Amino acid sequence: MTRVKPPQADDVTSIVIENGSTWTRVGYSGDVTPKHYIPTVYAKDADGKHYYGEEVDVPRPNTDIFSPMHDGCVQDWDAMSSFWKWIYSDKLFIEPNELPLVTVEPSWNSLANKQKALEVAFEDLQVPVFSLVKAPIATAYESARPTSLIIDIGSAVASVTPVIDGSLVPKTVFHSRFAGDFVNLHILTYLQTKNITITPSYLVRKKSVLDPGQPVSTPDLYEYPDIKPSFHAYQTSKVLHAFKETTSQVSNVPFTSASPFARIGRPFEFPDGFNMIFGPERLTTAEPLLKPTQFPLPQVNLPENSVGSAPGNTIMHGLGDLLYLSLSKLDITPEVLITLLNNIIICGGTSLISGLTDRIKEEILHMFPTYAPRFYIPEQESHRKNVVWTGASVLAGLGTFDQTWITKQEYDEFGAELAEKRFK
Amino acid sequence: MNKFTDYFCRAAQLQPSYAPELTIVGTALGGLVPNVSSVLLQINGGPFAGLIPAGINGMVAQYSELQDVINQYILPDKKAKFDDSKSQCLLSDFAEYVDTNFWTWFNNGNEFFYDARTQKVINENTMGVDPTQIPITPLYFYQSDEDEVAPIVATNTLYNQWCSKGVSINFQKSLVSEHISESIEGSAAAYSWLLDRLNGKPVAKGCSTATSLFSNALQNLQVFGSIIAATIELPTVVYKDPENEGKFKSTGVEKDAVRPIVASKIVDLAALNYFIKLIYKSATKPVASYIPPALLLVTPSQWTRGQIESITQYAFETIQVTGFTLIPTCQVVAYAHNTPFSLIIDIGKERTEISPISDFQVVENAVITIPYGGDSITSEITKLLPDLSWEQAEDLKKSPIYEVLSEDDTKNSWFGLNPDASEDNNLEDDGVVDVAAIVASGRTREILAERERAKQNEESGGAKKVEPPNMDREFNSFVDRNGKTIEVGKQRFHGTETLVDKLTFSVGEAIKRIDQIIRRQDIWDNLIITGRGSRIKGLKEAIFVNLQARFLILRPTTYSELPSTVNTGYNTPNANNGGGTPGFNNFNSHLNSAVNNPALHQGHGQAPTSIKLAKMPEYFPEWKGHGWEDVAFLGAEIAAKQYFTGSIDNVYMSRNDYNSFGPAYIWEVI
Repeated sequence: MTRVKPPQADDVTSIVIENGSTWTRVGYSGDVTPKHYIPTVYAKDADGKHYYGEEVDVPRPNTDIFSPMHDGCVQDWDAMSSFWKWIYSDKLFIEPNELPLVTVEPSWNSLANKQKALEVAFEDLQVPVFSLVKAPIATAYESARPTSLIIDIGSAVASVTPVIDGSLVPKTVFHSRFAGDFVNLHILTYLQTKNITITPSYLVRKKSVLDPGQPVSTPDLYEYPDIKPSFHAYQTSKVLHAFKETTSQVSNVPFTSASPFARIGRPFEFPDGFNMIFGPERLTTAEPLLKPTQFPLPQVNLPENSVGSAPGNTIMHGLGDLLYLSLSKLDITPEVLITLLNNIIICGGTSLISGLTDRIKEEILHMFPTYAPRFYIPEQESHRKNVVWTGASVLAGLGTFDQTWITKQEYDEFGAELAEKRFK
Repeated sequence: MNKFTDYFCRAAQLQPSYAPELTIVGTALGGLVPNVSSVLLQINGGPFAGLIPAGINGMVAQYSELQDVINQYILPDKKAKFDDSKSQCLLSDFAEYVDTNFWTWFNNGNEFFYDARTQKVINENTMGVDPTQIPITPLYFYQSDEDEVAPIVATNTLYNQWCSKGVSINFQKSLVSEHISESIEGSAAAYSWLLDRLNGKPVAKGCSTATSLFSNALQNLQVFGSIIAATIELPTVVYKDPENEGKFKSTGVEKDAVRPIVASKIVDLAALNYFIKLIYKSATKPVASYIPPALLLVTPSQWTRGQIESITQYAFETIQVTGFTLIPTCQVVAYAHNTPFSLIIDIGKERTEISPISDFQVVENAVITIPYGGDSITSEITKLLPDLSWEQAEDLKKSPIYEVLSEDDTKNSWFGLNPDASEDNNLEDDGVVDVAAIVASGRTREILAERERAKQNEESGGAKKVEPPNMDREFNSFVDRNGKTIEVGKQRFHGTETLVDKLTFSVGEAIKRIDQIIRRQDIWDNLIITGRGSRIKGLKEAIFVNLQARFLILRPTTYSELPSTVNTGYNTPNANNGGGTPGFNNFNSHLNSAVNNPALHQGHGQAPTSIKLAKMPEYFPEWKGHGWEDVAFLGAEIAAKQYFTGSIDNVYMSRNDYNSFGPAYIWEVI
């Protein structure tokens, strides 16, 4: 077996791509922050032409918006392949065969999916060297905490992963879909029950100036023919995101309508100028992250197996429960448990919802009062969103990372089977 | 012509005998005119012909005997005209006498020139003729090789003559500027040279000649520091050397031309490297005795990593710079405006780049580039006016009659006031006033007053007809590049709409990508619209108005929500006194809301509650009136001053860094 010497971190730069459910982060290894944020969706018009990046926001007739991701994993590889190619040609301005490629996978990624990743990287893109990095490992490296408990709350998936000495035990990894998008769903549902129509920014030519609660009487809107519902929904989600970002809040204790907290309002103005002061629903839309069943969504059936590492697990758990499940499956000494609880990392974009990290801390402190848990929560917003990418960037630059690279020659010789050995 | 220079030169020449007690440490001379006859023969009948009467009349003032010679030879009907130059400035001379062949103004052509009396004066005024008269101070000559007034050959002769007699001369030639621009631009280099003499820096003994590709203006950077506008602009083009495969030259024929940068991207790296070397070498030649200066490159975001590393390598290994760094274009724009948080909207030819700046750093992952720019305006124009060719549409776009009208202006423009006017109906009878439209416009008084004034002007027999402003006219005309005059109607106010709309939406998207929510407002308060595409009259205003219309948070309660350390109870609406926020009291959440005091809320986190354009600082007077489109250069000058003087750590790569770590080290510093 001929083995080409894998690249050394110090002399070769690689491209690092993290395909998140909402945003894809792209940059060069060794950098602290990614160079590009690109929405992980694509538009497809009636002729089957794909649009990526900023082009996705252009209102086109009969054009649908699709996401190639599902449950944190790549689902539509054809789309992902052309998305990666587009990243190279339109964002990086280089050929894929010029530099090694590192991508990030969630820890529950299937073997078939890993093999597919290899196939796309080597056959479609012709990259010279390729590697897959597990998100929690990247996070652990970024934080310089080889033993840590990682709570990552993204847009589509929230997960709890114990990392011990730089590796993870698959059965202890738990994830659920009660994450950022779930909050969006609650906000949307709430607004619908109040008969508030969301007019996304792409339609608004001019905002109206209105008193709170006053409906828009003469909307000044653009008109686009044949807009598909998926495009409208995608644009609407941007408004929901803004609401979540600026108005939603998580109560520091389990929410009750009686808490004084619930009575303090916060105004939100929609793109068309409609505005209102929101009270308790700021909290009730975020509370489901921790108590998914407390605020049932009419007309929405929560999907089965929306939680758990094993299929068929139908219990619906909030973040605190995920944590409990994960730790209870761990087969470790009390010393390791202490180390884990002393290195709790909270990251992911959704963790930025006002009050959420405080609430998680509160719950864990109550669960383990005698262990005096300690937390590592990156303070800067962008840092907390980029933890995984930065970790992958660091990993791609480490010499010890050698064993997990696959070169084009190796792939040509052994094929996608290699995924099983290298990317365990 | 440098009448001044000439006298000064002769002063230097005469100085030892004339004023020996005067200490002259150095003399700088530009656009030398060592031999008057050579000049007269060269410029007659050309664009600089005006120098002839100016020069001769200048001589007459000193040598009255010349007047007799002129009176003897000049044709009677030309005398008055020739004498005009006695009373007007040099620029008027150029205008009046352009392309005049003066030999037709005199009897027997240029015979007067060879008259013994004239020749005597000329000889007295030719430098270096009298072997006893040589300057003893060091000299600095600067002249352009292409000098169309004073041929450089004559200066070369003088240079050789004086050098052979032991005068120290530093002769700075430049290859591509001409007489006038060199005398302006080159003076900075000369000034720098003089400054050194005054500071007592010894000049190298003997003579030296240096030739720079461009004007000596590049020196300006060192002389005037970071405050002046770039005085030269060069096309980014080099030429293939037909004899040496793979080599380049600074001059050549069009078929060998290589343009290394296309649409901000590098298409020919080797050519670009060569071009950078040319600029660097020519800029640093005059100061070759000192340590070579560092190099700062302003780069668009489209340059790839490999290309940048390769340029770094070339800079250290081939150009031999001592320090090197790169800065993104939008970052230097932020430097120039001194705005740590801002948003740069750079409207280019084919694309517009929207780059948020946080803490003087480009937030790279929030940058949005849209494929709309100056060209999309041109293409819209060709759609509106199908008769125009692409080039004509370009010319219209660049002409002063093309502008973007604000909503108010549109109402008050000719078209706003004549809503029924159809395209073919161009009868604008002066007597007919559309009263309804005037009244509706809300500016009745002003409009009527304007009309009154216009009328009075006309009645008072005003030879000057008052031209109505562009927006008040139904038709206006422009001249295309071939000199053809073309009249256009209201289409001249349209074509930018798509660009403005796309741009507005993307600005909102870009700012949403700023993770630090608290900084978004700061960014909204410092918008910078730049780039050549933004030069269109009214375009910046249109973008600004559109942004406000689509994004500004305008609800009446906005300001009472702002957190205040002092609660006066005055600004805050209070439900108890009936001043509650309308609509809110009826509001019930599905939890049967306990909210009963709408005044008690947290304030909001939404931006923008205000949108402003960043103001250019006042302290760059040299840049006033220059136009802010090139402001990136100013920012680069500021950056260079800060970076290479050690005010900020780790922002440039030294030769030492390069030797230890190689080109990839550039990523540690930028």
